[in-house]
Amino acid sequence: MDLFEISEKYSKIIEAILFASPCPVQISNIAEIIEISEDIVREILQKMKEDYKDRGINIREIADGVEMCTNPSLHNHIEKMHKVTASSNLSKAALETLAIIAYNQPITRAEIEEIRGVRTAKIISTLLEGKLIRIAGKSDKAGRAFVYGTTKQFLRHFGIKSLDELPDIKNFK
Amino acid sequence: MLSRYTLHVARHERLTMSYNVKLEIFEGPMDLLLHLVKKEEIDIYKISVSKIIDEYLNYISLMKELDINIASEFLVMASTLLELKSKLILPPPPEILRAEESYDEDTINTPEDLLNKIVEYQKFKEIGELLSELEKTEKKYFPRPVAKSEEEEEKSFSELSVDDLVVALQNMLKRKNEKVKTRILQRETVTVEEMKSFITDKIKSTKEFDFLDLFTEGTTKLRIITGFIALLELILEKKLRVKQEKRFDNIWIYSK
Repeated sequence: MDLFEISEKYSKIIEAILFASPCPVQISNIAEIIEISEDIVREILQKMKEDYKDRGINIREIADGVEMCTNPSLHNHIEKMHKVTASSNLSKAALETLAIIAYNQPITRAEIEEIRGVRTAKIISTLLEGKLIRIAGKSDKAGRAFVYGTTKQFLRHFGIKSLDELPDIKNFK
Repeated sequence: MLSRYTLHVARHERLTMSYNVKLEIFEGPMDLLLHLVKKEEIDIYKISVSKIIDEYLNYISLMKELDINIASEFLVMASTLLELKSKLILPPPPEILRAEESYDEDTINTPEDLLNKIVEYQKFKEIGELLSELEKTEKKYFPRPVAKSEEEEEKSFSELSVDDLVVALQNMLKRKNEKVKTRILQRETVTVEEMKSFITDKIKSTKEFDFLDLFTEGTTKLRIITGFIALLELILEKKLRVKQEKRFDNIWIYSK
């Protein structure tokens, strides 16, 4: 087999794995399944992403993994199929709270309220319910309050690979 | 949300016409403060803090006039600001006294503290807006739908074959045929002790047998139940051993 054939063979396997998985698959996981190095997986994925770019289905990296999803330019057709219109987005207050948690995790409710100046209990329970945040442990300080952190679902909800993709807070004056 | 307000003030005019006065919606006291600072449109650190405080207090009193329930958060901030303002007006205390003053990191002690807090809040408000943009973009991507019971462990039936199904059906039919028998009911008396000696006797003659071998055709429920209790007791007393391959399978009884 020449290099081209090998790469073709692996892309086929990766394609099948991505199709069959209900959630993003980690690159390390793919490498383990095919028994090749993560670097080769990454290289093949790069080429696959390129090949898929103009198709109805795209391949993209999200939430610490790789997944198949519809081409974003076709969103109105998919929305029509699902019979959804601009589905409920998070409220301004919820987004603000998420921003504070994302940049300061692990953080207690009191610390969040200190920044927002408003009671936040209800928003936190909504975010917990939506699995956008999780209880990440207990504070070392007096009271041993719960501390909160973001989840993988958070990354998926905002379509980002990892928290590093969020802009540097220093860029905000 | 408790801390969001839309004001509707209806005034009845002669022709029962009414009009509404609307105030902007603020997420909380920090949001209101940020709005007041932004209105000034100059470098935030050059702003007159006492002017901002006055405007904040004016706004609160306006809310009161319009008879809205002002959330406690707005009032807490108002009192904090009043304290800060009083400090600004009074001459600074002598050095010695100032050193003794208790200092709490989280409270607003100086105009800088207030501005820093507003700036910090502004950062996260902006990031919140950015997240909103990301959310909107993400809504255009549709990943493969997740099966509803992703978290629930799905029961696997793959291990069962057609043969198992046939056997199950045959067993059922057999039981069904057995049922059609009429007889006069007699109160049966069988004790656990009786069943225990019955089992131990059987085990002496047969080294290995199925639990159901203990009973003859047309046995009673009572006898089976008593037999089962007797079996459990014998296991407890370590008089015999039992083996069952899987649930609802035959229970094999062995001598010790």
